[in-house]
Amino acid sequence: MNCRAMRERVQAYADDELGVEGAIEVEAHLAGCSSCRDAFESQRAFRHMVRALYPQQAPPDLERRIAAGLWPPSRRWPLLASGIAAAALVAALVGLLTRGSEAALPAEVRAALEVHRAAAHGGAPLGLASHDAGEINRWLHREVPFFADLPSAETSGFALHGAGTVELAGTRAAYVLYDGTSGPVSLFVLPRHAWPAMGRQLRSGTVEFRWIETGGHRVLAWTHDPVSYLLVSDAALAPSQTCAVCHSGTGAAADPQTNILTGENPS
Amino acid sequence: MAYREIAEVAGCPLGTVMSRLARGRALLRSALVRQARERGIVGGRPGERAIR
Repeated sequence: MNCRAMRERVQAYADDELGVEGAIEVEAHLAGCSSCRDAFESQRAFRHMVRALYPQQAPPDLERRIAAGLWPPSRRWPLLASGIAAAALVAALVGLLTRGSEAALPAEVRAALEVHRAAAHGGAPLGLASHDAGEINRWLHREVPFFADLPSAETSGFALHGAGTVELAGTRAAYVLYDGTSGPVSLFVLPRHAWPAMGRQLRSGTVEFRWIETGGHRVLAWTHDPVSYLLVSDAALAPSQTCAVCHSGTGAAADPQTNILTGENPS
Repeated sequence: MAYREIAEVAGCPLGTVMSRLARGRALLRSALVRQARERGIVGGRPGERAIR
């Protein structure tokens, strides 16, 4: 492969988008080609600089607006369609460049990550250590006015460990700790107004989810009046497994009409 | 967004995504260097390696 073609593959390599074979091919070329190696180092420095200087995330609704313009593709206005496609690529580029900059996350999310990391080292802020959902429900109802009940059904692979209250960037939140096979899982329940606009957006039925992965953790946020939820887990944990915290088995996640905590179906 | 997702959304082959991202990065880099020169953050000599 010539150097010109290799330059594009080097970027894909830096984005961790090549498989093992592709990565080996690029590394072999870089080892023997000082020109491409210089280009790679220069690109890497450029990424670091952009991440350091521009920690802001793209506007929260940008991805949705681009997606709305792309489906279905416009045949009547091919120029507009190609313009939107170019915008999608720019948005993706911004996403790739700013990925991993935790400083850009909403303050509530950063605070939740701190609490979760402390919990992973045995420092969870628990006011009540209990495996009993009923007991935890009663305790949290006394502590925070907006709390919705935890499901009483047995969860899949997770055990309730306890509950507490925390301050997330000045917002009082309920905190529930689960023990999972891949380490602790932290659930935060906040008032609706604390809904964090961050990361990628996924809509499932009436529920809008947002999620990010940072520092080996995944933060999943969703809202269901009158409260918002933040769920912090190990990034290696499959999202469907994460849902098992509040659903009996993973199948319940397929029913977005169901109140994710109470199990009630409003429709 | 993964390259494969971009290819699906934009309706173009994976190779095209790769080359357009490379071009986009090069354009972004040129724009940033130009802006940095205009603001006197880096030296203005043409061809100077502004970002290392």
